[in-house]
Amino acid sequence: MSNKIYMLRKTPSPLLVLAAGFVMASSSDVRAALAMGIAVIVTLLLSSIVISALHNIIPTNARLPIYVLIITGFVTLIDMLMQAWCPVVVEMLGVHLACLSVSAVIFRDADEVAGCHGEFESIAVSLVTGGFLTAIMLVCALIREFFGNASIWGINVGFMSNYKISALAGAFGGYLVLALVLAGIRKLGAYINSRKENA
Amino acid sequence: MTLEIILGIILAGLLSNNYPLLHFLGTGAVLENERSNKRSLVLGLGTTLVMLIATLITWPINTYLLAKASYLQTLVFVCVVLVVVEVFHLIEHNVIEKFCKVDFTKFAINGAVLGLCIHNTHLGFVEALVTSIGVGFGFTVVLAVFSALEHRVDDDAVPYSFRGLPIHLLTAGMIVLALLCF
Repeated sequence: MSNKIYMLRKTPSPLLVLAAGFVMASSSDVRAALAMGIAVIVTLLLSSIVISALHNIIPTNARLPIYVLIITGFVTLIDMLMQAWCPVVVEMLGVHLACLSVSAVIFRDADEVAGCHGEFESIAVSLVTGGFLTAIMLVCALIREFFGNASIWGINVGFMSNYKISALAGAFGGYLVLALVLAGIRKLGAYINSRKENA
Repeated sequence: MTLEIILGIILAGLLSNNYPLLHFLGTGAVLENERSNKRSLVLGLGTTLVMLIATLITWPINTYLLAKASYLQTLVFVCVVLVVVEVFHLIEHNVIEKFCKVDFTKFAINGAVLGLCIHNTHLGFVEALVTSIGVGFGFTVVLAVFSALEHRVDDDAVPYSFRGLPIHLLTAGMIVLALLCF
């Protein structure tokens, strides 16, 4: 377990490649990012628990469809709950919430971790993966909403309204901000490593 | 529907309605660019065919069966996509394996296919079919572009922090800026 978590922290790029779509799509607004983050964590957790409990009786050849259907069931459940409690956010997320059911990140976790390990190990990895993705989405959303829309959590920030960069709120902003955040993480990692080596 | 409209929809799928770049659907599959141009083309065309067949099945199901049970849409559509991909893989197994050694089933089950099926429910049947072809071509082109990009980016010329995914994301951002003109 510790190795998996350590690898995840050390190399976030492969994880973000798979999750890039929904991370960029939901990072235009902090509310959407938080909702998507919660949806990802809950889906990862529930699907990991069910799959790790059932992995011994799932035939190897039928793994892919069964895992995807289990994940889809939970995504549908979350979609319905969100539609009841926060329909505005569901509207912001659009089709991306439904597309979580075929997300490679969740499937990879189901396949590589929950499909081979016990419940507790799967829960730990799911929490780390979900927490990491949520943090990235929130950071990107804060930057994009503040500089692109001159608002935070939908509330206008008066002094920024004349200086906002509208391009950041669109698709281009998604790519730019995610690239910058990822580069920042890498730089920070390199700095921490160099400090450790010097000490 | 005139030829002009059909060509317009297909062109939109390539440019202004590009799923992986502008709608962030199937972006993960595109960014995982460890494949040659030939493999990308085969995978892209295979996915286009999956998109077309999935639309052909999901549109009538949504219109005639799910009218009073829209909450089942995602579940039903995912089942259809799974069946289409598995059947397609069984039939074209030899051709796909010959050209590319990646797992087609894992590749083709992506956000672009499901997102397209959901978006297409708001369109007419013929329009939905043409859109799926256009979006599929757009997906194929982006896939090929990113494969070519992987071979051309000189990592040594890029600062350490931006090597790998960040520089690819920045390049994708540039392409998005160009596509936004349409």
